[in-house]
Amino acid sequence: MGNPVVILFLILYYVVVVGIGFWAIKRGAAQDLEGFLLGGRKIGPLVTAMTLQATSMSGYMFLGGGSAGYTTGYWSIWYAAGDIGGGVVNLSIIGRRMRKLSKMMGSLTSIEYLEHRYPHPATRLVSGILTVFFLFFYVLAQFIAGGKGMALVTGLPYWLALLVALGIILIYTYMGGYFAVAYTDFFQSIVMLIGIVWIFSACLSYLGGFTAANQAIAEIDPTYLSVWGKDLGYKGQWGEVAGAVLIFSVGYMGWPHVVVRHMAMDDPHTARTAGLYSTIWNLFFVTSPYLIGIFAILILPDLADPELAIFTVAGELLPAAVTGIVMAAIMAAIMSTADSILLQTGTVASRDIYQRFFNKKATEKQMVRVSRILILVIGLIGYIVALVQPPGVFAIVVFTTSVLGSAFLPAYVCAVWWRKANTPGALTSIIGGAAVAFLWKVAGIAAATAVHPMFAGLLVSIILMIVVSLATQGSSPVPEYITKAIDECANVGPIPKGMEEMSEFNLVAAAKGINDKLK
Amino acid sequence: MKQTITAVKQHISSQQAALLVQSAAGDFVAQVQKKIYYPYFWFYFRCSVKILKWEHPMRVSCLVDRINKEAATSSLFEREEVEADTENILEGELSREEAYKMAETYVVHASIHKMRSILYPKQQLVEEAAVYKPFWLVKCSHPRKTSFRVIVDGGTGKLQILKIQEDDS
Repeated sequence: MGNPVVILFLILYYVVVVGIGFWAIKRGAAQDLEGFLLGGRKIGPLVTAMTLQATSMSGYMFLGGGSAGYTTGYWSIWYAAGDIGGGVVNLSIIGRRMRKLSKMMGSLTSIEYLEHRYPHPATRLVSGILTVFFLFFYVLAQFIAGGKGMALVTGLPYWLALLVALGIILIYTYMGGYFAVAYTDFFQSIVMLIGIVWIFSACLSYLGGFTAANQAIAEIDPTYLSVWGKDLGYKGQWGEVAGAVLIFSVGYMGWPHVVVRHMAMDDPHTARTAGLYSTIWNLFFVTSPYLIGIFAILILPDLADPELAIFTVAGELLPAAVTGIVMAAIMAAIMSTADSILLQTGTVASRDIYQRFFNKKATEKQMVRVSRILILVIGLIGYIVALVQPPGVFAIVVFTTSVLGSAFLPAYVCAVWWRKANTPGALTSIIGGAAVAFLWKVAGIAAATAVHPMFAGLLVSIILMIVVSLATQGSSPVPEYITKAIDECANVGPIPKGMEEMSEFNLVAAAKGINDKLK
Repeated sequence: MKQTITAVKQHISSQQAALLVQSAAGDFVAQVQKKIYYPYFWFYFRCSVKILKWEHPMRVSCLVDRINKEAATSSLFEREEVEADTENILEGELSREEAYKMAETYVVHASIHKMRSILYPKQQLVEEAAVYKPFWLVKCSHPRKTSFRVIVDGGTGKLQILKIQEDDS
């Protein structure tokens, strides 16, 4: 049975969060949509960054990262190394340009954006199906994380804890609202930051410091300290290292549910400053779960489930009340990520597949219904899989990221950087990259070749994009209106930097319209 | 020839627009060329979402671009009747019915994603209008560099760069 103090504080935490949300919404009621969610205030880049991080932190960090550290030692830091700068890389390379191009093309979703850039129904159909299918796996990881966490905290049997976690996630997704206001995200991100720092500090204090901890680990097995992993299992496997670093450094640029955030950017200055804050956050935060997992080798040498390393260490080292609050913040992070992914999946399914291909006259109400039905189906299938044959959170997230990143990264990057990237190039790149990354893992080629699926898939998708685009320039040229739009997004030339910083993205469409009319 | 139109109330004068652009233009010289009126349909919805048993009202103001045919939520604004030269009034091809459908789509989409929940907001159209937004067209010139133009929103003072043209006049 779980610790009653922990459970009490966990419940109290949710009551406080819902209370903040209710208060904020009541305060913002009868305001416009932005005011409704922000309580009538505009949020600056720091709060923007914190709220982004709160929704990005997921089951992967708290279960997957911890388990990777526990089982492979310092090898796991390769993943963290890529993650530190991933957000800024994503923003710098495609952020501003994608924001402008999507605005000029009137795209609502990141999949619709791909079809507008690479005009053909197949672009949308293939991209939509791939996105829905693989985001299901990412959500599955959150279900498993939520279920395991809930089981540990409450003492409920796994099947029941999973049901409770799934139920909360679905309620969250159906009703969001109180959890969706900026204040609650900000509050949760502060609690998570304090919690992780507290757990990390408690570990160091318990172990007598960083050096003492590493020395103790070396006495158990010195290969834990090697970047080649336990038993030097990855020694010389640069293909695996490359993939591990690439996944969260550039892989983000291939995630449809991540790049869609660029489409909501207000202005380059806020985005750039928020990106800087996010990177500072990552510097302190992103390595912590892996390191706590490594320290857990000493604190919990016989842990039955490595994925529960962080939760269990927190339970061992922190006061019960603090454990309850930190657990609640972690659970909230998992659930908010699951909610974000489910929303995106629902939107892609309803708008990019159902409305686009099956019912062009579908009303908004019908599409909301389709989203809800799909989310229920995902919940049901996810529950069964998570119960019967739950894969590891780390493995599933890395697998999903590898496939999505390999499939879409060249398409999103070339959309704004390469005028010659055309529809055949994009389609073959998406299909080829996804297929290679998928098969590389599933068929065991990764183990045989010591090349990470991400590395293999990305290499193939880049080659296909370039070769096929160049080979089909004559038969499938990029339409002139698209190349003009790309040139305008590039805005190369003598524009002073200060002018760029002051540009308002919401005026991009008006600028294009005025340009066209003034000719 | 002059025409009377309904426009977003102007808060930024020609001199202020020039100063705004000059402040960011570096060694370019900013000069206002003219004022352009850009066409939109404006829809104002009273919406409500039900979370658990509580109904929460909110307002959504949506502008639909009649030239580019895209929608976006906007802050509320004041309107005024102005007389403008017909040659400075841009016209769009989007019909009111098409614009309404786009506005409805956008309001639902924005509501779902900003509130992060699959809630269909009940909507009631309260007010609508065909409005024009005033933009100052400002040219930035330099003796040795290619000139470019900037538009300045006459209501908010926000700006956006136009496409660079080699032979800008």
